[in-house]
Amino acid sequence: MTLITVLITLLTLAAVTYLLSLVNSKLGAYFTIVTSLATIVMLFLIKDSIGQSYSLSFFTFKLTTVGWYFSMVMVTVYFTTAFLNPFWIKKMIYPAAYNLFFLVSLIGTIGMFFARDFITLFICWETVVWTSTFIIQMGKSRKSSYVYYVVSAIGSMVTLFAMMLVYQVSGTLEISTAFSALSGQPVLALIVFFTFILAGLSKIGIFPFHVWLPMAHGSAPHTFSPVLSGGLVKMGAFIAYLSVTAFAAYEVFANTFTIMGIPAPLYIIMVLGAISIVVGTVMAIRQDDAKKLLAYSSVANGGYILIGILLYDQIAFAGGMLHLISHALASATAFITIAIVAYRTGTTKMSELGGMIHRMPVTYTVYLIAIISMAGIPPMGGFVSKWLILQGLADRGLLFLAAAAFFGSIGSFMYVFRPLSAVFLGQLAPKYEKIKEANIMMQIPMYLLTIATLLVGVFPNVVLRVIADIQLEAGIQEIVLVGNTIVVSNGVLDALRVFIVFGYGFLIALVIFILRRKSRRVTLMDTYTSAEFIHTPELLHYSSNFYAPFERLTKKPYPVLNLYEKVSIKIKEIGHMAESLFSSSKPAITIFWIIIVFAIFFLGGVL
Amino acid sequence: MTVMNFVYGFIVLLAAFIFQTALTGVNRKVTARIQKRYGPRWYQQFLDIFKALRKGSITHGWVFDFGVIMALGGIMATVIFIPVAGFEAFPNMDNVFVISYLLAVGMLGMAMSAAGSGNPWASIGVSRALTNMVAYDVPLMIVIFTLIFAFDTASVSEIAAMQQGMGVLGWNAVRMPLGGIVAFIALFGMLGKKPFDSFIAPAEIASGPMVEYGGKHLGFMFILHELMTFIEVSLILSLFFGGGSSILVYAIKYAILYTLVNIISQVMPRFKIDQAVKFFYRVPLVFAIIQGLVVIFLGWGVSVWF
Amino acid sequence: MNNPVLLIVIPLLLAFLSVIIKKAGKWLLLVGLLFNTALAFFITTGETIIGGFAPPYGINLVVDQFTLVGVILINTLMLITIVVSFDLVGKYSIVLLTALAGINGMLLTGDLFNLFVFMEITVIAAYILSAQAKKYHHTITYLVIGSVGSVLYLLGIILLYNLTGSLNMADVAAKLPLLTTKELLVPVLLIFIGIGVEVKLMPVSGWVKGVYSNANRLIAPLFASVIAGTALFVFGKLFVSVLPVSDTLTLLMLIMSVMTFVFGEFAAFNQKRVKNILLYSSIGQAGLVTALFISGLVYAAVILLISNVISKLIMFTIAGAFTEKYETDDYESLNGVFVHNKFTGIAFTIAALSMAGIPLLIGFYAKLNILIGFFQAQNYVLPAIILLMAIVEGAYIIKLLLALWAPGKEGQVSEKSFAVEKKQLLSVKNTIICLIVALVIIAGGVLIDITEKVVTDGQPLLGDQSPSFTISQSKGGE
Repeated sequence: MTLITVLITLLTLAAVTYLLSLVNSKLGAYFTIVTSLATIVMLFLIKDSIGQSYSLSFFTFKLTTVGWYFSMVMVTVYFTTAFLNPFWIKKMIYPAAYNLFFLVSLIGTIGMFFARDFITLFICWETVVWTSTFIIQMGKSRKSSYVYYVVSAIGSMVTLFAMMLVYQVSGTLEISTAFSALSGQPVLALIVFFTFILAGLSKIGIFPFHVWLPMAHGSAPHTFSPVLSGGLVKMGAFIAYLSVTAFAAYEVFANTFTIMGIPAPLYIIMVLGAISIVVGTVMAIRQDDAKKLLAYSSVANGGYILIGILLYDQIAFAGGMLHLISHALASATAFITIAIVAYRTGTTKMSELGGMIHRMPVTYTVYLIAIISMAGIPPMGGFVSKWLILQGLADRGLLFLAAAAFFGSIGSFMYVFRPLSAVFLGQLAPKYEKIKEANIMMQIPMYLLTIATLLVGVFPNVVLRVIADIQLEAGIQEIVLVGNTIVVSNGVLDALRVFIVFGYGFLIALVIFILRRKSRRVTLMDTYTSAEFIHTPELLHYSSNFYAPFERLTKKPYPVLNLYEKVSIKIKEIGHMAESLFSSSKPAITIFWIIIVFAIFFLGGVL
Repeated sequence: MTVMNFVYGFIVLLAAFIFQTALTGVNRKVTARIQKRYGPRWYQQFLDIFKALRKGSITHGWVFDFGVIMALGGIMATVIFIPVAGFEAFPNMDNVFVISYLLAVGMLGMAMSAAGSGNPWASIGVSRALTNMVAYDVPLMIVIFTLIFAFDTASVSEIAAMQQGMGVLGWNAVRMPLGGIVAFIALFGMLGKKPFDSFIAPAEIASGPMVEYGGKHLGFMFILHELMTFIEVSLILSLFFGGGSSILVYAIKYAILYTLVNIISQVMPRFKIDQAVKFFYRVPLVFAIIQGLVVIFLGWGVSVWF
Repeated sequence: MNNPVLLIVIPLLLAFLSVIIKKAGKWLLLVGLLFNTALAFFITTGETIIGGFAPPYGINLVVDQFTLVGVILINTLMLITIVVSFDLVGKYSIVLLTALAGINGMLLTGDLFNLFVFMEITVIAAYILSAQAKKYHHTITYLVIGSVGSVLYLLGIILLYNLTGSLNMADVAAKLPLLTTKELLVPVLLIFIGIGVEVKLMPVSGWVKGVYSNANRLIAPLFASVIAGTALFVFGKLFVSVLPVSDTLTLLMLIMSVMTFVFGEFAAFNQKRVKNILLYSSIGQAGLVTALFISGLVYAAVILLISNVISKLIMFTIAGAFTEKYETDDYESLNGVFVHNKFTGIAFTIAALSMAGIPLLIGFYAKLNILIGFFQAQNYVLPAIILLMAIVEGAYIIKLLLALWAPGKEGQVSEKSFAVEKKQLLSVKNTIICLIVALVIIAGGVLIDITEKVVTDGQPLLGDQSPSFTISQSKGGE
């Protein structure tokens, strides 16, 4: 089975899904599950032919380990999220189009990860952008869809510039060979580097391109937010990967000014990554909408992934690549749980929720595991990847990046806990007394993702072996894996052992707990209230302004979106000026301009 | 990994608990003397814990119980990983990041259980505790980062071993004085001692996260607190004050360090939580970064001291 | 039978006939268009002498590949426009037939003065058509500015005649190298401005807003794609093969074109009405096409021109339908209009996305060629401007599409019930036509080797040396 067959099969399946959706949208939604499952199966089938090239018309592809890895991450997120589609499809304004675009964006990402030339890369990239733009608009905000498109367009247009520039210099569009023409031309290389990586930055949500994430993640249809955050954001990481491998930033900039052994251009991008970690964390702490909170956490985690991949070494690179999957899983899970809460309650605002654990214990547990991973706490996937990144940073002595990483990692305890406390714990409002747990269909993706998160956390070496292959492919030192242990120059980690010891501790605690006298169950309202009588559960739930002291410290930050709006207003002003100057309905003014043009031409002609 | 490891782990756990609880008892007496009181007996803390464990209790739902168990489980696992005077129950598992993040499991469990009680006081306390953590942990982690860079290892026992043999001058707190100061201040934050105790803040927010606990839950919380103290003090001791070449030295140094912190904290006022963040980000963070830069770019305090 | 003169003569003949048989006017128009479109596919390249005098003294019609593309495209587009809005033709059949003759004349003629004559015929027809909206003020404006443009053009060719002693395009082109830049300055400038009025270059495009924004479903696409397309083809022919001017003049004209492009796109970004967006976007795109012609990127310019006029045909037709059915074309008051007209919406969306340069549509292929061409000429500033403008363009197009597709206020989930009341925008026939045209946009972008074959027929257009994007390029070293 070749990649071309896979892609064509998938496109056919997407078309079938669309036609089915026209007949019965729910049936089509079920078919999205089937199609994404088929994608997983087919990806496994083509794994053996890694290294081969394919072409179809002007599309050319090459099967690479890294592309395979990225595709797997992506399709896992799509597959699990697809389980939610049947329940939301009736709420979509264009159900058939939703199903189609859902699958087309998946196919676009896969095509992009295997792209061999710039044009294929760009076409697949743009396909994903506009299909997702049209999906986001089916949510509750058109503006967010617009901002998403514009920020993406900034990235992709600037990147197209880089691609064409490289093409002009090298005479080839093939990604791996095209960049090699840049060696020995430092200025050109610099321009290409910054313009090429911009698409990646805008997609992964690096400051100052992060504005679209909270808007788009926050208001996209609930079934698409997990895909956006867990999946599509990772496309940016792929561009970052290309900029260190195909572009070979470390070699190209080897003779430039370096900071701690990192060429300055790369360091600048990493600093942007570090700023994103800080901005994402601070902003996530401030949010009241659970989806926006998770979106900002994606901004922060994007920073980790970017820094990890750009470090391009034995340790941190592996960490960045592993963080890709662990964040994808955790973030998709968290968004799915919030989606389910929203499905039952109709809101994602934390201040309006509370006590969901008493009605949706499974959802709660799944969310708990997701945030443990997201905060980088053992024994979940997020810990291993953050550990690798931190070890890598410590190995290189990158103090400022590490400072941001520490802030982000400890700040994440704050923001991940907030939905846990405000949405799931605390008092249950009487209006939610009757709501039900997620149904079986919705529970399936939650179980799958949770198991995956746990597996990555306990047996990280299964994934790390693939990453070692990627490192081999990229030509850097592979991460050392001994049995179940990760060995890096300044530390070792046996995640399984951590898990076992944690289980041991848990067991001891459990035994003590069971051996003691059984405790008496009291209601939630039966709490210590300083002898006051409060009978309204909502009043006894601490959920709004959760981190008020912290928010007091950070003045309301300047919204970066305003910058974009200012530019947009300026453009409108210039447009208005042009309109009033040149589009006057008075012919006299046109004559005036003709005279002016003549005058200028004469002067120009004489000079 | 054999059965013996687990047995050793259990022994470490038990010893840590007994030692720290006794030390807490002693320190209650020290505190009392500072306040011109007589104070309870040194073993009062044991009595308190066992009494609490024997009493009946209430529960606010499964997460209230589960959180407590998860908290204690996580903390116990962390204690098992702590190297004591070079002795490790599980060899090669004393990575500083593992310890500091595994500690977070316990904290998360505690926070979860507290918030699960449905009492807003508890949630406020948790909110403050987490904010407090962001305050002290960032400067501390930066200093620890500097240590890892300097010694090229993240193993707590190895860092401790490298400081031994040179007397006081070998200690990281002396070799890297700014870092030492940061670590020492951060220890106050970690232990929740004044001036950084606003998340417990007795008489202010009705004792914070603990408000709903009674009976065995409270007993669990006491044990948890003792073990957490053990982890935190041990970590700072091993990383910055040379650890201990033998159990006895370790215990003495430990006792001195803890008592010192306790004594100082008794004469401190209390920061509001935002003041604490502000303080940590103004002084210790700057110190930590300066220390980091000095070590990374100048190499002072790494190998050459004299 | 395949004599290109017939393209001009038959419509004129039919125009006279329809004066006599008024009732059959509509049908005669259709016959003329069908004939012209059919014939356009059969004429071959070559030269046709009219009147018996050999050029450079006599008048000739020159058909090369460039003209051929223009003739086929413009006649087809006009046929589509008329078929779509056949119900609106009414008493305009004579005018439209005259315009058809004029347009074909403009495209085919090899004589500068003859071009003036055909231009006048077309423009006068256009004046009459613009009066359809009954906004006579705008028609007068158009009339005045258009006349000024014609006069300037006329002056220009008089001066040129004075300098070269000839009005035959090929002859003028041959004698041009003998002249200095200073001598050429005035005539070239006059011709540039004169044509610029019809091409809609910025300082002299004051008439466009009034005329386009009030035009109906018939007139708007006619202006935006048929007449504007013709003007651009003529511009290309004049400034690539007849008057290939030197550095200073090129630079000045380039600046003006690029200014038109930038300001046009910016102004489009500022608009609230669908037709205004489209008309400013047309102005902007016209500026880009002229910039490409002046820079010598003929193939890229032609592709862009084709993609643009096809898109505009669909979009202006549908925009005309908005005013027709809802009496407004403010996109905010048309919130969710495509909910009820999905297929019309799909056609509109494909056209719009092609304009924004979304891959696999012909607009992207055009953009790719432009970029490759400019980069190959070591020009990095213009691609940067073009790509920045592509962001602006994408922004207003996506905003428009979102408003038209997704009803509901900010913070509300889109629902059918929020959309404007249900009305059928286009008849089934017209929707199908729009979809077929949209299919051409897709096919042109996907089957790029066929597109290139159709447009160039294997020969460079007007001696175009610039590279184009081909399938083999992406395959790199293979």
